[in-house]
Amino acid sequence: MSNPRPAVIGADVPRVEGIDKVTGHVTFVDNIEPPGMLHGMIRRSQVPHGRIRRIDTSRARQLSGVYAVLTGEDLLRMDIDPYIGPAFKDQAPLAIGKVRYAGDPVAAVAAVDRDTAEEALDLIDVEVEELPAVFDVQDALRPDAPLVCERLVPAGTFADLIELLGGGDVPATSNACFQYKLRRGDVAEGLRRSDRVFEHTFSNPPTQHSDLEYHCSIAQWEASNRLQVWTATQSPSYVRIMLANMFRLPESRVRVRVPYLGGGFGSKLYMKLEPLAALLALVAGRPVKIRLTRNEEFFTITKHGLVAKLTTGVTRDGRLLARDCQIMWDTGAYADIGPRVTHKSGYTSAGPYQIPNVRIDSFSVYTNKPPAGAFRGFGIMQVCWAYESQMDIIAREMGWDPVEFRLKNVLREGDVQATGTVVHSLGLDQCVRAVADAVAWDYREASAPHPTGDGARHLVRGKGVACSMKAVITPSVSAATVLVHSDGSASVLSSSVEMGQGSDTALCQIVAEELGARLQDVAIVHPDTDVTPYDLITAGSRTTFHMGNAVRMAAIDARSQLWPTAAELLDAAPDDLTAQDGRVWARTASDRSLTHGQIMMARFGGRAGTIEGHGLFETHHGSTDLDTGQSDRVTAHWMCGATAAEVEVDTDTGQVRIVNLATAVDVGNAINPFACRQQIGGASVQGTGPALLEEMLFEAGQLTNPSFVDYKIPSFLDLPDRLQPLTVEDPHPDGPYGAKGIGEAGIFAIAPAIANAVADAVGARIPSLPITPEKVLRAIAPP
Amino acid sequence: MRPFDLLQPATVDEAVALLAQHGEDARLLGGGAMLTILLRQRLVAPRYLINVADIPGLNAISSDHNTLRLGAASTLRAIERSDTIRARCPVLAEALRSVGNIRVRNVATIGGHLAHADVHLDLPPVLCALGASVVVLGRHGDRHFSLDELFVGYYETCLAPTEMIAAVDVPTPPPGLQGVYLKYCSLSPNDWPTVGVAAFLRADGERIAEARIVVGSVSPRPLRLTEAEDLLRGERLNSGAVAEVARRYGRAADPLPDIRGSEDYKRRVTEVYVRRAVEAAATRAGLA
Ligand SMILES: Cc1cc2nc3c(=O)[nH]c(=O)nc-3n(C[C@H](O)[C@H](O)[C@H](O)COP(=O)(O)OP(=O)(O)OC[C@H]3O[C@@H](n4cnc5c(N)ncnc54)[C@H](O)[C@@H]3O)c2cc1C
Repeated sequence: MSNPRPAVIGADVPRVEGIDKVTGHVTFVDNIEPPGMLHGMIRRSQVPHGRIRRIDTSRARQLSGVYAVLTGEDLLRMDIDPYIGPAFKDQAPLAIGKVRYAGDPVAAVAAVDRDTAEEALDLIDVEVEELPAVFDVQDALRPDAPLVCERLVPAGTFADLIELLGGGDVPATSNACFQYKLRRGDVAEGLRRSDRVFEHTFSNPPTQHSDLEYHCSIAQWEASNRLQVWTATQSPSYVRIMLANMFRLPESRVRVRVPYLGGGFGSKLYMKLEPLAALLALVAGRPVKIRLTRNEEFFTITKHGLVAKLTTGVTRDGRLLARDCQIMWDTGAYADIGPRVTHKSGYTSAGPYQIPNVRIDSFSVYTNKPPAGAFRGFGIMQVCWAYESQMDIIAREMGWDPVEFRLKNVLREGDVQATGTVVHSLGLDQCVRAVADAVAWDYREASAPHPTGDGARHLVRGKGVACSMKAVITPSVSAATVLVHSDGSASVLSSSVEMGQGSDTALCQIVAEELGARLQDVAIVHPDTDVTPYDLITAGSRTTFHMGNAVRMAAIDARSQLWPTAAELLDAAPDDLTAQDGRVWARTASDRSLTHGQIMMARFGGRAGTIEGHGLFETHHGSTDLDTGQSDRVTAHWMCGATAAEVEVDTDTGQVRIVNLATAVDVGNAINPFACRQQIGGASVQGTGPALLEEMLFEAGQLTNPSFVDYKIPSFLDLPDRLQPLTVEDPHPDGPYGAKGIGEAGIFAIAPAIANAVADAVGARIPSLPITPEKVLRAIAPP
Repeated sequence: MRPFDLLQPATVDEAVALLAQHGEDARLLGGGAMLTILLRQRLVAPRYLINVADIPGLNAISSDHNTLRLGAASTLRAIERSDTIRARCPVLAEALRSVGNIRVRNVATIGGHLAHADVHLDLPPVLCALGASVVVLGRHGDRHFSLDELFVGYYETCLAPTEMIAAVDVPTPPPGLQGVYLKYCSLSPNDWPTVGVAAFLRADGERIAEARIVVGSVSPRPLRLTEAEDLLRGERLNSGAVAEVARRYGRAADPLPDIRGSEDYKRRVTEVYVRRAVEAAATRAGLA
């Protein structure tokens, strides 16, 4: 009995946790309450930049019901390393010495309930001497700009931040904390030889992740100097390591558990509230929970604002000859993972194209604003906004069909990418063609208005396309364990976090496939660092590819321990065995089969025992030339996607409505096609927010719209009339069953596709996000 | 949120007596949709909340030949779904469909809506155009105010702290008066209005016998320009006159700049939406 099509892989199985989620049966961190738990709350700076003169907590300490009050000064007196930060050790859980943005935590309280804690916060007197502040990246790079951070102390945490590894603890000389550099060919010469050279600047503001669940962490110290943490994080393994460092504990004495997450999108990476909860719990001698409010979310982590200047040379026959990218990332008051965002998105800042001459200088820049970190796409949305806007300007000015222009230049199998790394398995050409077809692409050379059918003169339509690619984070490590229990059912131990993306389902499918088990007999053990093995982070579209490989190896390992027993019972060679739907049989004698439970029973002589399978998947980075950024292997695999949009513009008001939004992503091989389309559809809708609506607005460093009343995210009423999530399959030899990561690629190109469609409709180019009606109206009919 | 005592009066007289007793320490609670936000943000911190939403009979919607009366505790959703309203003031029911969302409309009350006096409310332009008034109870007994008198400025009404809105009276529109409410949201459609325009026209043959145009969200109080309305009276519908009326409203608007648009932008879309609203009302009135 052969198996032409794998049984579980490739099937549209529903989410394993779906019913529990929609019926309200899953636990989130905020549902957990250890006995005696206190509530921690944070007092924040009102001043964007200043020296802390004095913080008087005496009145707060006297309030009944208050168990702990902490300031940055207090941290210095404890036997800990108070500095955290994944790239630079530039941030403490509570500001020490200086506040660097309006919203910076300066004191914290743990009390019996939130009302008491809030009252105590009001009783804290904070005296800050204001310093000159800087809010704009370009201002921040001026030689006379006030320094936001005085010293650069590399954290030395991540192997992929090569440029930081050798770096020492140095006084800062500018607000640029990190530079990514890429040099390929000779850009000056390439521009000189070009038939036309285009120079444009594009920008986007900081925005929010807006995950439904707020940041929430609980810390509890056990008598034996053992720290237990429940936290809403995308990086449990990292949190354990960093808490161990902070409190100088062995990792084995720090236990980090993560139940389901109510969304992450990058906001819950690295350490956020965990250290402060642990510090308050230590001082209070009771478990402490800190849960932010929506308002506080705005002051915790953001998506980077960016200013990008692109200079591009083309030849008359439609080829890109040279491109220079000067990029400034607004990383806010603390670097968080900004340098890595700058670094990783640096690889492809010139776009997914074959360009012989490329220069990229990309800077991560401090400003006195809330810190910016990871956001779905890790910087690719921002750089794609710039290069795909410019691609369209070039195409339209040269009279080229924007789709043809892209297809002529996109990277294909065997091409050498700007970093020097050869491209393999990149279905970008197919993605562009798929989305163009999906909106019935019809290029008209003259940008004449395209009225709608209904005769309303003020409504015109246009179409736009955009595409993008990304390198997956490399090197990286994922480990997993599969346990087969005495009845033959299996548990999957993995530190990947289920945050709505569907990874539990994909990982269960892979294990079910390899064991030949029924899907319902496979269950996930959620991250618990005492139990589940190391995983780098749940981010960067890496789980299906990396953890997918790890659990697959673990399942194969478990199977290889089980099958000798089965072979003996079936009188067959182990190689001859196959399994599906919970039964194992010999291909040569398919009339006899065994259940996994029967095999376990035979192996252990009764209802007893465990089989343990282990899997470890690692990827490696090639060596890199630090002056040119050239490397034979910057990534384990490339991801890509394309979007086409059709919009309708109200020329009286400038309002943009999305009529049709088609996004195609190369998924390699869809382990769960339905889940893939959900990911792509979700990413598409999320991408329309920063494109049309979202912007954190500041006045003199004060955020003026820190709530969903004045910060709008897409609602059901904002959905495109038609949403088309499409998959393209170009299998990757190293992916499990050929699969690639797809969590981000659906969002990359949404904004430029919409901007390009608006330009097609009304001839107006909006170079700064979001594309508000006011900007559109000003562009088509200046006041 | 500061702790407070929730008081449950059984009648409006009791509610008014409690208001008089506690003065500034008390606050009326309608649906609470807005007040809970103010409490949570600690913009207000009353010791007592006097719940008027559950006073028996205060949510009645009644009518006689001349007037529709909405009890102050009527929820927006109940008004939206009332057959009487749909028959007599269809534009009010239409406008309600765009207010907040169904969850908000299920709890928010008409009394709380008007008393909140946010300039970005959807109903004041419609109710002003319909000539509505409020019945107010307090220490001084009954008082009646037109909505024009009620709204004084940003978040400000003419009510004394010891007074409450007991009902809203909407006169029966004269036969033939047809209108629309057009709401423009410059960001998400799921938002408060950037500008809201109520326009009503009554036809006399081919001529406009009466025009009422009230604009919300772009000035401290609902904006009505009777001189501009007069430009239409006695005329046939013509685009020149409509454009002139729209221009006047655009010029008279005095909006606050915010994330939804600059002053200039809000003036421009006011002009656009006044024009569109008058055109739509004309179609309904059989004038176009
Ligand atoms: C999420 C959300 C979205 C919204 N969107 C819109 C929108 O798009 N368009 C729109 O027009 N509105 C919108 N609203 C506002 C809504 O329409 C109501 O105006 C608001 O909820 C107030 O009504 P309430 O009954 O909840 O009043 P409450 O919150 O109970 O009270 C509001 C104020 O009125 C006072 N008050 C209450 N009852 C009386 C009374 N009888 N007499 C005197 N004073 C009284 C209270 O003391 C308080 O100061 C929205 C509200 C929310 C929460």
